[in-house]
Amino acid sequence: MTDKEFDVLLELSGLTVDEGEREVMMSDVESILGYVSQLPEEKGERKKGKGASSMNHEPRTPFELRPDELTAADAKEVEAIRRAFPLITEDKLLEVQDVFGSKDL
Amino acid sequence: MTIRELRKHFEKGTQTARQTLDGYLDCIDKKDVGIGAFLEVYAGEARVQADEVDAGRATGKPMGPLAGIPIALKDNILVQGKTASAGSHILEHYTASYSATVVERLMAAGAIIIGRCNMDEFACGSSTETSAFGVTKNPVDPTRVPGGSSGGSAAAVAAGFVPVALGSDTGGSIRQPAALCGVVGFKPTYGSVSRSGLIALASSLDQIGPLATSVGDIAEIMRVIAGPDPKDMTTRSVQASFPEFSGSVERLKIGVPKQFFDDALDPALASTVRAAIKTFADHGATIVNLDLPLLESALSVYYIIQPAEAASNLNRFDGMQYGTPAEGHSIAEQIRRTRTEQLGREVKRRILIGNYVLSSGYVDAYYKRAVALRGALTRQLNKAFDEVDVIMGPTSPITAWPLGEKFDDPLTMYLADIYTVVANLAGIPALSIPCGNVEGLPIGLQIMGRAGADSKVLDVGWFWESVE
Repeated sequence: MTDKEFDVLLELSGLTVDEGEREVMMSDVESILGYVSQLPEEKGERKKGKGASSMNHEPRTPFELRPDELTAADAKEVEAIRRAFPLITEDKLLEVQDVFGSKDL
Repeated sequence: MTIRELRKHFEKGTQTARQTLDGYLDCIDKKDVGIGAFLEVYAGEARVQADEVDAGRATGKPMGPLAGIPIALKDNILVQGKTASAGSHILEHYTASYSATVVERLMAAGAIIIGRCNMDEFACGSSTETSAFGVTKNPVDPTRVPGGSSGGSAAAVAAGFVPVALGSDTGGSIRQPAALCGVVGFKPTYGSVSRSGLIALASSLDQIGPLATSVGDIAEIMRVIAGPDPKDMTTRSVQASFPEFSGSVERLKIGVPKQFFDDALDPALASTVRAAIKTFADHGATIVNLDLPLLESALSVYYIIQPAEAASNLNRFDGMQYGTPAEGHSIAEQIRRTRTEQLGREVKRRILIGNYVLSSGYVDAYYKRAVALRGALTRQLNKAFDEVDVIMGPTSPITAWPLGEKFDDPLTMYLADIYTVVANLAGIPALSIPCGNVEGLPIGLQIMGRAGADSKVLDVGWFWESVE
């Protein structure tokens, strides 16, 4: 496992590790993954002789964190959402506030 | 004393529920300092409940089957208004807003919840050393671990602090500590007991079950807690299948897989377990040697599926929904800092492994393959159960080890679950029952049955107790 992969994994997990702990944690994770990757072949598998190890498996997609891209709704979408969701419930107990950055709906 | 013995005393009037409870509380007061089985004891409320039971009995009020019986709970089972920490700092101040179905059923049966027991953090561990609130020691030898993750529950029963306790079993967390502490532990069929109100670790593997000093007491608890629950859609009806014990093993076919007697097993432990199995043959049972090759992969399959489900379940512990949020400049930073500061190393390890095996590049190679093998293993076991009634072997490959010995070596610690994970992967019932000792340390015999055959497994265990 590369440092970059480990950093992505930490990000995905909502965790950080201290510098002192990092090496131990990486080594533990690698040894556990090494152990569990020794799964037997399934019947009819094409890649005979290869286990589940990440060492001989090509990821289908690059192991990178995809940044979330936030795009503001356009006027048409805003109008559609306003029509779909009433601003106040029938029992008048819940009223929508501060949607689309405006309290004045 | 067993539940049946206590009940007789209550009925005859030779002992009250309050006197019984005070005896147990006194024992906890004096001895738990050196064991650390309990995180909290509800002495005040328990005494009030015991007095109510005695008052009800005196006025001829109908009594539940567990009236006045003290029971301890693992700290991941919710009791309304009480702390449920799951052994983690992140839930240190969490108060349950509702009670688990098992708790409601126990209380409706008159049981007295005496307190909450220590456990590995979020049930991640096999020694109760990963608890954020200190280690629990094995009452048989306090220099050794009690096993885990239900180590507090097992230690409480073994030390005589309670007649019965509830634990949860995701990969052996009831049976392995039961074996290491010399008590009886039962993991029911998946779906026999409601998981509503259990803090989840791996939802397709978790199951609540009892620990006690006798199989009879295990059955007494199962009669109360088992059965369908609308709050858990995986539950099913098995409660009718806890009859009186038959007392015979004639015509019983016992399967013994060679994979349960591999190099991982301590030789002295192997001969004790084989001797125990031979006892059944001496009483008329037939021994069938089995070869179940997929058992060799069970631990690998388990340590892919379990962390994957754990990573998902533990996502909610972020300081926003649960836990105390740490300081941070953004929500993302707050979450990261909360989880980093308030989760322990073993929990973090499993979250990292779980997210790795579920990541888009590796999900086919790890998770999907493990799920396929889990299905194949279950089919292989079901085929074996067409030939045999039960499968027997050791519960743990080793006896209780010294405190701290395996703490920094997670892979070696995981190997302690090598014979127990099978039952969770296949969803079948499994009992661990004391069958001897090596150098003074207890050994467990594991008895597994077909899914739904909880009663059969307990029946066979009861027979062992009666001839031992």
